[in-house]
Amino acid sequence: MTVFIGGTEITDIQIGSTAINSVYVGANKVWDRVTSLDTQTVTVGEYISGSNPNLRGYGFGPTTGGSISDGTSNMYSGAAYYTIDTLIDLSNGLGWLVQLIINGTQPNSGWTTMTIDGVAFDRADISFHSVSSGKTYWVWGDSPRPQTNPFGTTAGITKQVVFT
Amino acid sequence: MINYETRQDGDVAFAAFTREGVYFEVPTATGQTEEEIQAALQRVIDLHILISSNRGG
Repeated sequence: MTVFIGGTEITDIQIGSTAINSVYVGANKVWDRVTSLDTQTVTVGEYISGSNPNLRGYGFGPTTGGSISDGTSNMYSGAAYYTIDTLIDLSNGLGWLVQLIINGTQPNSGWTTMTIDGVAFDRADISFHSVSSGKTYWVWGDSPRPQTNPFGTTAGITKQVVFT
Repeated sequence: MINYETRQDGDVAFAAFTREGVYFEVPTATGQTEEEIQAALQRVIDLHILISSNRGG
């Protein structure tokens, strides 16, 4: 269950320096602390196609560049992240496509949400999960695609990617 | 016609199929017609081809 103050979701409750993990109203639990399974720090790289400048990408991966730390997945026994990025074709107006690619053959399970700089992408809402050529994809690309890019468009800044 | 199996994962049902050596899982929605599911699966195949060809990833 989520709790909001105004439009802001509460993600941390402390009494003094003591973290509170659950909140009850009477006998009813109304809030649980969400525990991160894995947190990655992405230094954003930028890709602009030489042949089609409308095709752009931001984040980490072999095309966008950028970097990731520590780069290994706690959900999948230390498998390396291959790509976490966002893509757009400015000419079609569809918005941003988001992709997560991890090395190896990985099951479509083990986590619920990937949050990039506070923007959540639920595994239940993927367009597809696929396994191809030794890599595993999770792609959010069906309409409606996000109209804003959680990585931003400035290369060199860092963004946190949190898996819960 | 794309043949698929259904895998339940919590509240979500995924249509699972293999096409030209690539294994796919695609979430389905309650009440979706077979025609709508087939259209979604084809869109996914097209999207995968697009990503693979344009991005080399």
